Amino acid sequence: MAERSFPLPDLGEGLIEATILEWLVEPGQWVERNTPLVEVETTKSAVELPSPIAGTVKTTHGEDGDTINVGDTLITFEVADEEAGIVGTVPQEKKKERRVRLSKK
Amino acid sequence: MTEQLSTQKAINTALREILADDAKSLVFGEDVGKLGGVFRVTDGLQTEFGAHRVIDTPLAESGILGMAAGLAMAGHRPIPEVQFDGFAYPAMNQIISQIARTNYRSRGATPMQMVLRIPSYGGIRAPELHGESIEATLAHVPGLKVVSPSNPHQAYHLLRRAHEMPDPVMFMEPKSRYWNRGDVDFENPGDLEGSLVAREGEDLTIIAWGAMVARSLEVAELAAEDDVSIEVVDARWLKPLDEDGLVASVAKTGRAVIVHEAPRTAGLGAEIGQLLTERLWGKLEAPVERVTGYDVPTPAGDLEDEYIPSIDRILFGVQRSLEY
Amino acid sequence: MLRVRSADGTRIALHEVGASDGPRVLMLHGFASSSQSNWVDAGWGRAFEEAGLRGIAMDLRGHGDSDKPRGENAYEVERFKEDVDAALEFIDAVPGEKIGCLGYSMGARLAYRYVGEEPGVFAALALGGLPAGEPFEDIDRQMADAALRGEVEPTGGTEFVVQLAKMLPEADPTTLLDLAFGVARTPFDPSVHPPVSPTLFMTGDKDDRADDTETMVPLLDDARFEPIPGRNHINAITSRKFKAGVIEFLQSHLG
Repeated sequence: MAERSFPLPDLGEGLIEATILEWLVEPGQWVERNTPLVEVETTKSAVELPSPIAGTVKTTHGEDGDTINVGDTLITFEVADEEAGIVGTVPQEKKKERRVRLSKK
Repeated sequence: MTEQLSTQKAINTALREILADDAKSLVFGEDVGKLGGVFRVTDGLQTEFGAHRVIDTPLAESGILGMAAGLAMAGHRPIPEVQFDGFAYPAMNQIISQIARTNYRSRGATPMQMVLRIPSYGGIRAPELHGESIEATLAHVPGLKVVSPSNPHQAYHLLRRAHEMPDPVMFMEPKSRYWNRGDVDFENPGDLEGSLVAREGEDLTIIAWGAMVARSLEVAELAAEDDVSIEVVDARWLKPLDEDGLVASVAKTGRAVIVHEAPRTAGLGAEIGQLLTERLWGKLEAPVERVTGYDVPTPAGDLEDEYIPSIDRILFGVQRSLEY
Repeated sequence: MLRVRSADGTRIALHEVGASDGPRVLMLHGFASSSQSNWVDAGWGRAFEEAGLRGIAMDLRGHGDSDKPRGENAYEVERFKEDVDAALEFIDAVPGEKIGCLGYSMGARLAYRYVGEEPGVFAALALGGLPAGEPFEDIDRQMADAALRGEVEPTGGTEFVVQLAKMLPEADPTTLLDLAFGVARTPFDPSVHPPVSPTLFMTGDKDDRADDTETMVPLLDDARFEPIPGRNHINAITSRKFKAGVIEFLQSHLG
């Protein structure tokens, strides 16, 4: 398993921070891509942030009511070692290994 | 302009340009639209070209290929996808009984211009029917062309070439290589017909395609440590086979090892071996060797390493040829 | 997105939000917002998709992807009603068919007024963050224009309008002032033609811009009020409770 963290994204011109209104997921929960993760409020509006990936939530950073800066870590997922798609895993680059040696006749 | 892309991104780029350049082209299949494909190969295309040109279909391959047949008859140039190799089986009736022979049936009045994209072969630890190598099955059908790229540059240019061809082209993408990056030279495709010498050598020719090209190149590198010079030929076009190109390489080295993931019996290794025997009888230094999958259903992920030709199994094949 | 033409030629942008099929709901956003900001970014697309509701979100004139004509005359309440007519024509609304309407703040006010005069159109009305009076009362155009030029510090209602007009970087503050002053020519009075359709009012219980929503309930034949817990005028739009309340209400009347 691997971890992937995502920062609070840029929410529009000139906004440098946002306040967490309400977490919609909790650690240990499996989420699909685009599942709403959290509601955040800026000085101008409120937005619901969708999950950029599918995975298990490992850590939510910040409590309801906390203010966090754009670019700070918002959420950390535990993900399978790079998933290939709906099934399978991405092949890892391996060092060429062999047991067989060649000899010309 | 040259850019470093993954095979996945190279195919995505080719599809984007085809859709942009050819109003008759359509992309459709399971999850190709909203999701952008299970391998992200069609990522962003629906947003850019709309749900009327990049279409999510029901989970029904016979429907996908039936629709492709009808669209091609009506003069469109469909680019359908079956999500995984093994799911081409439910569409074999449409492929074999309709798509492959409509041009013949109509005495050339109804060409079936289309490219069927098939993420193919094993190597990603997937369950059964997600790692099949069906190239021999397809190559056996008159009326179809079959091509399998081995790297991002080939994937980009062969897909664009396939789209221009007047025949239905089965485009077999090596799914285990989707994430490997390589230079794509957009302006200079190089020769897109026939086979390609991927590495020159003197002592023996390995003929491979798809994901087995990269593995054969690794074998050739290891063989060089043992002072054995191996030429690797990427067959690329599996129907029609580049007979002259394959024969030319083996005529030079005198020895051939054919590598494929598909089961051994009636695989393309047999076809190519027979071709070499016909054309080079008396000039071969050793019988043509085959290193292939076994005559069993392609196993699920956990047994994949036992089934797919490994570096050692290919080296054994090379050694058998050298020792003859 | 698709633009339709309103009676005066202004192009009005309509966005599909939610399921591609199912009961239709016209969505009207608030002042100085947009369909994108009020509904899509706030997660209503996903909520409607899961609920099987097909939202058609209209960018109010002067907002979002709709045209932004200049001058207060372009923003008389009557023009907005014509925009709703154009949107309904696109939706292909047949009288008697069950279409819902969801409005927030100024969009809720427009829905309230529209239904008051066209009682048969909407089978259900969900109104969020709606104050019981005219929010743009007691405003001074000269002071507002001077404030935009940075010449004076606005006061009272004018301060509120100027603050809103300058809020979104992509919006043109002068256009939004035209709009606010155009709309304010016909002050909102909820006792005039109250809607006869079933109506749900929901407002954040910390919303100091609409703290009197509940006082409208007795004016209507079939209305109820539900507070949105813990939310104010800005942040109520993402609330789960708000979405769940609206969806349950719309489903029960449009099914």
